[in-house]
Amino acid sequence: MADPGLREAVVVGAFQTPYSKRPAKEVLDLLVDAIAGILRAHSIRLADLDGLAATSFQLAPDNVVTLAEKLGASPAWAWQGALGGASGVMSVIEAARAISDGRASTVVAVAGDSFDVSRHMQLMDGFNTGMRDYLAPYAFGGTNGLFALVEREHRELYGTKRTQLAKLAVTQRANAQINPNALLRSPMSEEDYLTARLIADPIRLYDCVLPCTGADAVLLMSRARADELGLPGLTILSGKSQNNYLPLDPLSIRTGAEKFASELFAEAQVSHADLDFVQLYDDYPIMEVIQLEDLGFAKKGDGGPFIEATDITRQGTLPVNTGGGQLSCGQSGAGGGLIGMVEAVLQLLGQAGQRQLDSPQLGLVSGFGMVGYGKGLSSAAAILSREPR
Amino acid sequence: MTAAASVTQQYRDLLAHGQAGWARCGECGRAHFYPRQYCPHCLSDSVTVEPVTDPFRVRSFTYVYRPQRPVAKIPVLIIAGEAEGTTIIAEGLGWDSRECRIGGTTRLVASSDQRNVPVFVPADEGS
Repeated sequence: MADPGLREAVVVGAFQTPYSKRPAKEVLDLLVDAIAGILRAHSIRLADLDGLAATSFQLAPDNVVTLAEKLGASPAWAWQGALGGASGVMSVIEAARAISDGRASTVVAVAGDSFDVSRHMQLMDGFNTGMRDYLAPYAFGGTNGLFALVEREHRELYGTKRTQLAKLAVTQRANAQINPNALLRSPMSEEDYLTARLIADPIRLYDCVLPCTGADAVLLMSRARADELGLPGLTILSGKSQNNYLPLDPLSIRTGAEKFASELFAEAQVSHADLDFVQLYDDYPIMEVIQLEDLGFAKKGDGGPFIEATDITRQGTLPVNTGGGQLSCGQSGAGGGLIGMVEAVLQLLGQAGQRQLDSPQLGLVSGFGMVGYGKGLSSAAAILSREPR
Repeated sequence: MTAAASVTQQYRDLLAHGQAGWARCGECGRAHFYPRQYCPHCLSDSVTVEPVTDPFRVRSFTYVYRPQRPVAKIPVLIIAGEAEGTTIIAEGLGWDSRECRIGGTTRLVASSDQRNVPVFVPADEGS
């Protein structure tokens, strides 16, 4: 049986604001756009919204409650994400738990930021005290420099090849070409990826996400309420997180997913082969490889060969990041932590348009982030099902 | 002054006197970085900052071509060095004519510029 703490909730919809390369409005207004957008699309009255989860790096001096004030909502349950790129997935898991506990019946989980490249870089130097005091005094290149250290170590230890990483970036770009909300849709070849300009050796341009502006939202309800409204709902079979895994090691060639993966699959009662797709947190292709290993798709060090041997296209045995992911859509700050969930929900509900997979039943979504002194500290993952099981 | 300010201050004072430091626990004897008021291995509060004398092994490195702010010279070498199981990330200086490679040896010293930060230099350089 699926995690009983999540069973009474269903995910009924997903929504994105248009993504843009330049900040278009205040972040609070952007988040309100996404919440209003998803409620209106499902004909839900504001008065019926009794739960709200919000994540944004730019939210201060505001917070989830002043967001509710701006929106005009009165949520009984409120949650604010502090897990960086793991917050989006975690917000949906926590919302499902709150609904199953009876603390709310209709919840929106929203995440986004009003970013561009320079705003993102400004954020990095003061992201937290560890980074501010012990990394920012160097011109370390922000996260690009840190994940370059990770990629080099992974390649050194396990022989991971740039061509294996290229397969992820190139396949995702092909998916983005039929995603109208993706910002990067021009064709990309393996050659383009391998020869792009160096950013932080061995990281090159197409290893990096484009910080952008946008917000993503997911709508959850109690199973009873969704039935009442005649809305088809998805079940979260299991959801897990781990923070500051392997304390004091500042390089993330292993993530917290390694610790929770077996429980995640056991509680969902599904095997890796049962999954119809995986939406991986893709701040860098190397982190997709590392998460595939830590989630148990391949043993540690075999992520590269696993990618090489697996058809990860939309028609393949394990479609990866079917909407293009952050690498081709853009990273809307904290919205990057929810974009995989949005894509999973659209796919399972059969609402993914031209990029729709053939009747997917089961999918996995991962989140990863909150870079502190060196590595991303937080991991989260959830397995979603079209049927209650 | 809190204990936290105290280890951080010890670390900064040491740098100001031209030495790179890391923290060591007076109870379990293990080193850590960055310095914390309680030992992150055993939660003892007998943590002090001491000068780093060990050679470090280059665990990973990157040449950064797009730093987050303008700098005098591109690329910027960033090194993750490991000693006694503790990894420190710092800029690499003085490597122009040397090959930085994983497994190579480096030493952590205080920068001689006004930044007062620890930097990794080739093992046979600096003092």
